[in-house]
Amino acid sequence: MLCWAAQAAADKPDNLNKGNFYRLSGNLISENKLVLTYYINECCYIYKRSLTFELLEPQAVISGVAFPSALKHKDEFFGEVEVYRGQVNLVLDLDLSQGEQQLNSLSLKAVHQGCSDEGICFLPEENTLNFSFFPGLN
Amino acid sequence: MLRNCILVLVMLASVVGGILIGNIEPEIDEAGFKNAQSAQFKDLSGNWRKLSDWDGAYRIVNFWATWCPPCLEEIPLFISLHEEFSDINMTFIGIAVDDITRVRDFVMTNKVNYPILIGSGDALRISEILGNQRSGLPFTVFLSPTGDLIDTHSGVVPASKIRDFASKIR
Repeated sequence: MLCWAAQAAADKPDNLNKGNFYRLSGNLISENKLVLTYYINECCYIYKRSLTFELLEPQAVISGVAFPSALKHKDEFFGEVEVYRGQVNLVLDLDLSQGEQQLNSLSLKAVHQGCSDEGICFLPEENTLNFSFFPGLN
Repeated sequence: MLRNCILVLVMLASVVGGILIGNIEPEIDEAGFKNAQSAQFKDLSGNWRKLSDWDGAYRIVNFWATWCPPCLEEIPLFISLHEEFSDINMTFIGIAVDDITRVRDFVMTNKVNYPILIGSGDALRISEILGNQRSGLPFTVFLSPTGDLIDTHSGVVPASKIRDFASKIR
């Protein structure tokens, strides 16, 4: 079986928000599976419902996202919501068979929004991760 | 000698005064700070407004968003205090870093009684010029009638801080 593997790290300083509260990296572990890892500073949390992902190539789609279990958090206005803290791994299933041409690279747009425990929230933040395919690796 | 002593005393008084008045950040660029008050934002009626439109009044300028729970937590307090201190030369101004539809819905539902302006990333940049070093919300800045910085606050503003501010005006 022809396997593909690639890695893209998005943890350069440009991808940190101004308060350095979050960091995101991604690994394309097979031709149809991507692992995203959020590193969240201990002061802060991100809202599960704020997480959105989109592939920028029209011939590729996200066919499923496996979210790990989240923590319950009580917001005065939003009631009980789910949040993530610490290190969070999400697995994205990819369907790259939407087009006839084989993809050499992949771009993922990831959005998240979070707050600090001291009551300061940060603008929804968008990161774009770029992945390249290298044939023959597993 | 006497002149030097007076100069030192004046400088000392300025520093102590600044500390007593509030947590003024020394690195704020004064010219940029004043220019930021000329930045234009649309109000809920679609009119362009700027902070300097309210020159002549003490201003409590609150940067907020509907996606920010602590922001929503403090707005009822602002509504109540805006009403309570309507007899003094002080106004609240909200600048929403948000989408106009969501802001309009919130303002109508919660009967917000003070001016609300709408911005996006540009509003956050203006807040940074005004002293929002953490680039987070809510962020509140207290301005004098001439647009000088009196104080700033990151996070939910305690009611006591606003009452102190109002009592000095009264």
